[in-house]
Amino acid sequence: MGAEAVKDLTCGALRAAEGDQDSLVRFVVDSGEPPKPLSSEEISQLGDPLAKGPFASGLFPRTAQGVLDMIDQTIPNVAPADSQASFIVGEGSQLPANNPGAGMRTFLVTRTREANAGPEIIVAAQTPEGEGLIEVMAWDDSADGFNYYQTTPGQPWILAGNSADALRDGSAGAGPFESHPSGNAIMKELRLPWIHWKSFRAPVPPAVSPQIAAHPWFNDAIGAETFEAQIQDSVRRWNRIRLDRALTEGLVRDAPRLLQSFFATPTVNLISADIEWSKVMRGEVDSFAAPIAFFLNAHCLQGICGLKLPEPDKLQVQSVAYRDALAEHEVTLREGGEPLIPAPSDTHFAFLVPEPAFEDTELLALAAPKAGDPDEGTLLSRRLIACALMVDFPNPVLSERRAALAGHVTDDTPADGFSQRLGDSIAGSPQAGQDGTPEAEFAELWNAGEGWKDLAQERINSYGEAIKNLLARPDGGREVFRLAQSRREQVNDMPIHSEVDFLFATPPTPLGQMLRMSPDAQVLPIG
Amino acid sequence: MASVERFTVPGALTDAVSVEQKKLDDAWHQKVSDLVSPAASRSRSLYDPTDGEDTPSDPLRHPVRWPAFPATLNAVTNSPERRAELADSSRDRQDEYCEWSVDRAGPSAEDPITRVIFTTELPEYFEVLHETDPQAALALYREYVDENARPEQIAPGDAYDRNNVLNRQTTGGKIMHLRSGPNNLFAAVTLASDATVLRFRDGAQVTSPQDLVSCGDFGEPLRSSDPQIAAAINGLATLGDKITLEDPIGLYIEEIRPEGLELPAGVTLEDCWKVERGTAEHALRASFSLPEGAGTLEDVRVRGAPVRFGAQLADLVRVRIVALSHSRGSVNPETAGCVPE
Repeated sequence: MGAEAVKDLTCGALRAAEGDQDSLVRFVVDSGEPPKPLSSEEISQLGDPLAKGPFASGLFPRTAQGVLDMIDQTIPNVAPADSQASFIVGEGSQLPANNPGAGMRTFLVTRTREANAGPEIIVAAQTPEGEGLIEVMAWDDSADGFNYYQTTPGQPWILAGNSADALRDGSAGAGPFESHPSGNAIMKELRLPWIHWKSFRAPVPPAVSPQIAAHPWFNDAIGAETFEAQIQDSVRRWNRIRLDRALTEGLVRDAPRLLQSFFATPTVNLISADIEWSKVMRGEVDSFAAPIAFFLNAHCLQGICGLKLPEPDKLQVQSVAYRDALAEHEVTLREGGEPLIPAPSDTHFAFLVPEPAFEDTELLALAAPKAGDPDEGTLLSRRLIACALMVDFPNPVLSERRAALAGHVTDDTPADGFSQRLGDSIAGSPQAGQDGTPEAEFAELWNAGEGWKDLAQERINSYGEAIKNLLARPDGGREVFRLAQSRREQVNDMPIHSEVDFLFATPPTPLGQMLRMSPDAQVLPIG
Repeated sequence: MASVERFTVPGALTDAVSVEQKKLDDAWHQKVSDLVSPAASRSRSLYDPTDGEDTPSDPLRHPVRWPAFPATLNAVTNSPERRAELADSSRDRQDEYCEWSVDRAGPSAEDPITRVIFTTELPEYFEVLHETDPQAALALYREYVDENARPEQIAPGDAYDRNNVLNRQTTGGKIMHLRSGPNNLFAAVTLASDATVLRFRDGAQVTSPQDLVSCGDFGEPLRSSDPQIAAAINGLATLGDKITLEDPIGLYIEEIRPEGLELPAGVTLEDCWKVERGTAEHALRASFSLPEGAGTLEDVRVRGAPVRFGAQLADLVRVRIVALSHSRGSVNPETAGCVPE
């Protein structure tokens, strides 16, 4: 029996697209369609600034700066030059300059047209003027969503799909949609202290190349705190469209895929403690606050459901205990399995862990009532969101228990009364009558009716006290390290990790044990 | 080469009333010189551009920017609303070289906000102004803070008080210039000078912002301004640059970012954001309010939440200081261990 070739569904598959450098080829990985050169007429039907400007004029830029220059020449008002902002990201950018892993750096340049809409175009490249991989996300006014483009030296420009292709069978999860699973622009390190990004928390060292040092993309680069806000605007823009498209003729279309964001973990963001690891290592601080999103779904439970969260004083990881845990497991940043820094060590900012992705939590926020508004008239009620997210709530990501609730979502169901019906369906299911099932856990809160909020708050308060007690124990730092490491190892298998080897600090061999947190703050094996 | 003969007043202000503007300009030059000259004399890398050291016409320009919202509050609470409430509660909390005060529709703290006034004006400038032209200082207070301001309110016992009763509130629009402890030009210039020393611990250079601030004893590592300024200057010093601060030396309001800001229909950001002192390029005082008849700031949302605190807008306001550098590799910077070693 001959070996079957493994199908490449990553962005690497785009290398198969060939053609004249001065042309545009459409190739949506795993869509069933082969690479296809686009005619002038087909290009004219695209509604994004790169296609409407340069491509429609027969211009095919070979540098990232050229992309923007040609847009200015051909279609200056769609992505105006005075809105330009540049940002710098690089997984190696916070390593010492003489470290072999240092220096990986990508420029992201955005241009916006409307306040609150997010960028019209995002250009990513390692150099403004030189040739190399150029990736562009350009908003299509005609089709809505981003068009995903890329080119490399010697290749034509490739149109790798539109945001909508991320949600179609076949192309979903393939090509650029491997790391953009909902079609959204992403920033995986979305929140303070924005590890890997130039920000007010971590300016990148001055470039030594005079060309780069003098280039405005470097010299005028602004902080990740602004890119965070641009990405949030952009995510809201595409999520609103997703939601509008899903709610047609009074029905919730494609509900199982839409509500993946609710119950499961299609992707994650990364969050760390707001402290440089070196300060923990040297014992300059007795303890540091672990990020609240490590312990529960902070964005949704606080921002949407109005619940109060444990404060940083309850989340203090003892520095000594954490250092000892890292030493015990010989943790450090590694590339190809080899240490980049002597162990024990951590990432630039300590305690980097996965958290629920903004693109998922914000979809819930858009489907839920705004702050101060009543539940009526929205697809998802606060009660439904809280009751679902409080199932296995100490595990805000990668919870198989919570994901099991997705089986109760049916397609093309009426939007009117959706929350009540779904909640009743879960709480009234046969599984809800069996002790220990996710449905039973859901039902306990759901059946409290309007008392859900007090009950949920009580559980969170009790959990906060339990975390405090855990972290006060001599082995508390070790326990949260093991849980964090378990989650990191699960994320290692997700596409978000595919581009760099040393996203996380890791032991030489994986722990290999899947762990979970319990509501009384015990770290336990899964299963 | 371009030389700077005199330090010029921040934001091209022309505030003199009872004396010639030149007298005020001279006094300000002297004040800045008194700060920069000793700071430069302590450093191999930082120079005083008015003291014979020319700056080329095309130096590398290094703007350092940060949000006005006090970053230290992130460590205090996980609640964005509580953080905003704390930031609004005291000017002492507003420690990122930008302070603000809010105006409300009525006398109660529950009344909706109608205007937020931000300032990066230096206390040193007002001390010089009052010393040179007390009438001008009083006139500014009457124009911007309280039309009934009296001389003894801003200068009890004749000496100007940067923490005076008309400049210490967070409400009523009672704000003239910076007053929080770390928010002054002396602190910024001293930091720029001290940060030119390369710090070493156990043979390795300390470069990351929080670590550098701790090692050099530059203050609070969780602020967003000082650690970043220190790291930027230190990075340039490491490359052997000659470094100075761009004239007019000062802290400036660069802009209010539009991201996450939802305005009522038909209202633009330009309708709301007004530079009140300084220039567009060197703004020192700016305010945010809706056009008349367009409602209160509760009709504006920041990241989805109605504006109930000035701090929500402070999160969008960017503050800036600019360093200039040139002659890379020409300076052998001073080195030292951590403080205290």
